[in-house]
Amino acid sequence: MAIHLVQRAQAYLPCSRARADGDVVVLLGEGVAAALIDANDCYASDTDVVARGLVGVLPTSIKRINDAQLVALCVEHTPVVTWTKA
Amino acid sequence: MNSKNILYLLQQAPYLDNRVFETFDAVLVAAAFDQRVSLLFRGDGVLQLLADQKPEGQRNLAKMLTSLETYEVDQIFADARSFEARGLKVADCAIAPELLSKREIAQLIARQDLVLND
Repeated sequence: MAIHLVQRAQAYLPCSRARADGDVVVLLGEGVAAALIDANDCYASDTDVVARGLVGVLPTSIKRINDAQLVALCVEHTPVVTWTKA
Repeated sequence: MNSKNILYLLQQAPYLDNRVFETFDAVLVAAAFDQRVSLLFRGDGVLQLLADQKPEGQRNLAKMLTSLETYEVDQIFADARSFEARGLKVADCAIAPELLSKREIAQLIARQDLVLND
């Protein structure tokens, strides 16, 4: 099962198209903004969500994770795919 | 030398900087070291495939793509959606990619050990 790291909000859609059942998606950096638009059923980096003041507006289907949990997910899933472009 | 499945996810339009050329060189190095290399052109990256490129003062990517064959890199794919969005056809390309649906792209990714970007 792959893990998809979304680093720009506009990269979320291409990532969601390439997401297979059981794949994990994590919103990182600017990518956390996708949580407000069309992302669902994903993780988001806690530090990036807090930094951008999104804690109160994050949809419930987005689960916040810390760095240790992110590393654990990356170890458990292969390959790691990074999405940065629309 | 254990060989891995490496997919290069190519999404950058060429000629802005050397990024695309450097990634292309990395692809050839991986192939030269007998890795099982696949290429997936998507988004603006599909422009890298166009046959009619005529850059001035820069390496011509279209010509370089034809050297992939000599490195036995024959797993050349492209996102069908990215082609349709730009009104492109396989006949417009320097080398013929296999157009993949989003499900086929997910399957291609699932088979990889490593996915790298340009």
